[in-house]
Amino acid sequence: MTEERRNLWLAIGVVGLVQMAALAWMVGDRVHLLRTGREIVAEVTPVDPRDLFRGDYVIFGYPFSRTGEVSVPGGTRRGDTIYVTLEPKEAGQWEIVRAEAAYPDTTSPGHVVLKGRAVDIWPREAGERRTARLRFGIESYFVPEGTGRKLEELVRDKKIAAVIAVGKTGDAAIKALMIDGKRVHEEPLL
Amino acid sequence: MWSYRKRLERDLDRWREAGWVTASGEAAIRADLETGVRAVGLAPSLAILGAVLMGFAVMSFVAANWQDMARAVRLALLFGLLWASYGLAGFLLARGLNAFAHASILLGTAIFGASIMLISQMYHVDGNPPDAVLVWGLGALLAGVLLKSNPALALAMVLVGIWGMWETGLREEVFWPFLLGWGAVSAAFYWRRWRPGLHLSGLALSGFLITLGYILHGGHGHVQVVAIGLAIVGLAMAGERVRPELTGLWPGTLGYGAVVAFAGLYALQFVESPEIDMLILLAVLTLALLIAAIFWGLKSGNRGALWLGYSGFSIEILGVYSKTIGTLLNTSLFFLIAGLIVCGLAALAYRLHSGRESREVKP
Repeated sequence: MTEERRNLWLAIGVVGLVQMAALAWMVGDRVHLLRTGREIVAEVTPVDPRDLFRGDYVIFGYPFSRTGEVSVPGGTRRGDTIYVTLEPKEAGQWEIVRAEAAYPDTTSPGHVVLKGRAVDIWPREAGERRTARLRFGIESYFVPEGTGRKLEELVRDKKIAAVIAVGKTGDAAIKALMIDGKRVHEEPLL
Repeated sequence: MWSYRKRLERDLDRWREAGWVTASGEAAIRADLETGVRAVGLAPSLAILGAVLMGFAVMSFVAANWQDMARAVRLALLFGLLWASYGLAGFLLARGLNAFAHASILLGTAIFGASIMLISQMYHVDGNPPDAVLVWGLGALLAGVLLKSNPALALAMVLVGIWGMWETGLREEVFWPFLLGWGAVSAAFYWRRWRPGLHLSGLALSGFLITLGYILHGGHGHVQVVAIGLAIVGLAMAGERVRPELTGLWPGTLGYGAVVAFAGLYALQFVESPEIDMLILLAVLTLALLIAAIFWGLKSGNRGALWLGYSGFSIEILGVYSKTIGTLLNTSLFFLIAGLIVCGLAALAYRLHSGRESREVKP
């Protein structure tokens, strides 16, 4: 093998390995969060009940996200990270206790902290507090192709909840879907 | 390629009539042109298109058969496809089939991007979508640099552009990290001495600079945009004198600087609402700059500046026309004066241009 040829295969090896490592890191990060994260169940309010399963993914709204309005510090700008402390109410219900720019130093054991991103903020002028819509990265749920409509019929009159894994830094991931207290669409992690 | 061919054929007729090219010489040039079109133009284009189609085939196949496979099997499949396309690229490069090898590299980077999306879908990742675009862009840049692949670098620039636009759309401020990504890919283009890539860089940076005007100073930063554009034009003119050996760089830089300056002036006149005397001042300044661009284009043979001057001229006139309808100014008088000035300028531009054409034709 000439040196030029050896360099070529070396370059190909590096490109393939680095790209594969990036993908493996994505998977590993998620699996770690799903495996070690604290599990909470949160009731889901479908954004539009009649158009719940658009194609093959569901859009979830939570009382504290997307459809909900959250009071945030006045200096918050669109795109900023916001940490929200949630307190459990009755089963599957969570209420916002605090919303701040940094991860809270102290939380009581029952509370859960979620890391979100401000996607919409008003009023436009900075003030003491402003109102924001937040996203936590747990708003989409993909279902196998062709099963969306069936699920849609199933959940029409039933309560849906999401099983969410929450990590130590507030990152969150959907683990499974719950319909009338029963888990559906749960897969092995790997 | 086609425009070059058309131009050369026109020139060949002229050269033969002038007695500069012999009949056998002309035949040889035409034969060379034919093989050039076939060997350089068609094969890589088809190979690249094939790679894009195959990328879509892979994605739709994997997405359609998702539920029948365990997560581990899906991941193994994606990794296998990734290695297969890069392996094929290596095999083709080693045999000197470069055009097909680059299509295969592009396929590999497409599979890398598809894998990011499919893994996001598999694990319901719904975080910050521009992050995924950035990771894909970095992967394409890596493949482009290490495997010396221009198509992969072009993809990297497109992805960096999408990343920057997406992040800008999510916030209320300028997304400066875009410049880092842009600089990295542009440096790779320059290192490869690849002109179409440098044009992509120029386009991406112009877009970024023009957007600045709509974000800075509460969305009223167009004066700064004009200043930046003019500074780039000045830099290109100075660069042409100081470093004339970089012939490929300066005319393009000048053109993109002029585009940025014109876009800023346009926004000042028609997006902002200036007083009428300010509007007239800006319009006169803009037209003067466009005439200067045409003049410069003729003088230095910069076709881009020439084309830009002409099209900018029409856009500017249309803008002034629609803006002045219904203002307090005596509209018909304004149009009469503006019309006379524009006709005068058009006549001047025409004379300048035809003067050059006749000089070109004369031996």
